[in-house]
Amino acid sequence: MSFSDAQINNLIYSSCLSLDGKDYDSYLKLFSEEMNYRVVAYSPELRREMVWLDHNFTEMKNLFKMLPQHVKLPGTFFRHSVVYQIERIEQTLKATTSLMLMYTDLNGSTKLMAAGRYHDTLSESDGALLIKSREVRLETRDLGPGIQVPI
Amino acid sequence: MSKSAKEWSEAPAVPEGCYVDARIYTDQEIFEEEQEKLMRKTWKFACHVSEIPNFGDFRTLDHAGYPLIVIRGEDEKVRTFLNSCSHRSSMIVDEPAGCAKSLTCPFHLWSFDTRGNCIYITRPEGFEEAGICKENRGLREVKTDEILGLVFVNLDDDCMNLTDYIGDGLEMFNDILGTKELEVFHYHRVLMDANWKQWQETNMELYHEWGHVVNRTTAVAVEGYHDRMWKLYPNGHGTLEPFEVEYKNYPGWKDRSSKMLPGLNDGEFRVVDIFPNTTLIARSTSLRIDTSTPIGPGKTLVEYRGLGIKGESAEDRAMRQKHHNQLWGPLGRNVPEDVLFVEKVERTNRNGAAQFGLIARSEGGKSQDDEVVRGFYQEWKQYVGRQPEDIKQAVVSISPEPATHQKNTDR
Repeated sequence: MSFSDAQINNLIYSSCLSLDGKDYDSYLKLFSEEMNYRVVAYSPELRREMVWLDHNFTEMKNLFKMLPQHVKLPGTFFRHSVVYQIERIEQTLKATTSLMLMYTDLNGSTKLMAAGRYHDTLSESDGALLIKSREVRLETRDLGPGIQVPI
Repeated sequence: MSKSAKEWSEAPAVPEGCYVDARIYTDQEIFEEEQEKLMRKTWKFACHVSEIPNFGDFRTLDHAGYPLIVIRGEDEKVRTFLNSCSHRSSMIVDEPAGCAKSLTCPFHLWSFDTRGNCIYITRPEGFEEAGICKENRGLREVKTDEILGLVFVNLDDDCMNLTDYIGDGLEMFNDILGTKELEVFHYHRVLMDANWKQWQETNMELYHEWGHVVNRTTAVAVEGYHDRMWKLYPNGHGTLEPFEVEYKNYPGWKDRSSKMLPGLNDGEFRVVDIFPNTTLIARSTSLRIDTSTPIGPGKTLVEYRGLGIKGESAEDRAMRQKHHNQLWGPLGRNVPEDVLFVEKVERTNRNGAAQFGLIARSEGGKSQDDEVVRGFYQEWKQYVGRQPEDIKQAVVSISPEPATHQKNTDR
């Protein structure tokens, strides 16, 4: 795979922009159909790793399909991300991205909702760069009432 | 027909016990009385035994405003102490969990063993004149007991023992909790803008299941849902007859027909509410325990635990986690909805816009009957000594101690 850093950055930032814009079809197009999406956090209370979401492509699709029927925080989410590191190990591309998730309520007040990192493994399909797996490793363990959309 | 201000402030014309004064959720004085008369008198779920399996393992928590440390001793007994040094009252432990063979206060380095004995005083000769020595400066111990792997604590030295307090309240969970060794694999907490009783009501009244698309499709619409009977136990606990949920009715979800927790059938749902503020819910393959900690009248911390079978394969655990997270994780479908529901109620209670809450559903004691909520407030009234319908009214002819305390066999 010979993708530039700019192409990799663009893919990851596009994933944030599409989620921010609730454009879930565009979001899913950035992932390989063999994708795995996980949200994990370390619990100092249990002294162990926790998995908070573990979905494949079909499960993600179903999650998005059902979102309109759920009662959710009514405001908007805004993801601030910075790609910190890109690693090329033989045919494998990996990227580590720092992420802050902010929530803006209906009155326009914004607060930091979560801090964490994306750990992405990328793959090529028909010449296109895609996300093959994304692990969202959260530093924040108090997500307010909870978040029904991917982070 | 809409109501005038006068009409809005009139007590609902419903049978006795079928509404509560909304100030029960917002009044600072009531909150403080609850802390003193209820929370510091009743058994509080602290943790599961799997969180402290070995000598020195500890968990800390705040209960009724007091910091506590729950620790397993060398004799394998679990004890609880105020997390407060017997010298100058510094908190001894900051971490939520850990392992320590002894506890050393960071302020002046006094140390304590896992039985609460003071084992070291820095330069003890300076205390001789005042008569202070290791032997008379132990930690304040808090009553602790276990039932089916659940560790409970009670700040009242004269409380009823835990076995009598729970009674048969956990009978629906004997097989789930008592057959195989379980362990906690999930923990998260939510600090919500709501009163603790609102959260507990939501655990008890199933009428709100209409608000969840998951419950509408997988449960409420399924034959037999409305036919289950609530069973109320002494001391305010309540449970509901089991029911088989059709998980496949929710788009993209599958039935839960394998790897069930002990005693559970395909899709089986069970629930028990332990008075005052702990709930266990089993959904075939997954088990949740939640417990609340009142922070203020309109602020509550709720802790959520998910449990699986200790030693199960990675594949089985992944499935169990998935099922748990589908509803109850911080990215799940249901818990975020429940939090938003109770916060919406708190918003109108906060400054008195709402004056009463109705708990008036009557369905012959079946699923969406409010009887279990009314039973909760009957028990609440015994402890707090106020009328839920008008919190400024004291309960007439209440006994000095809650009736349930008369059964104390542990004095």
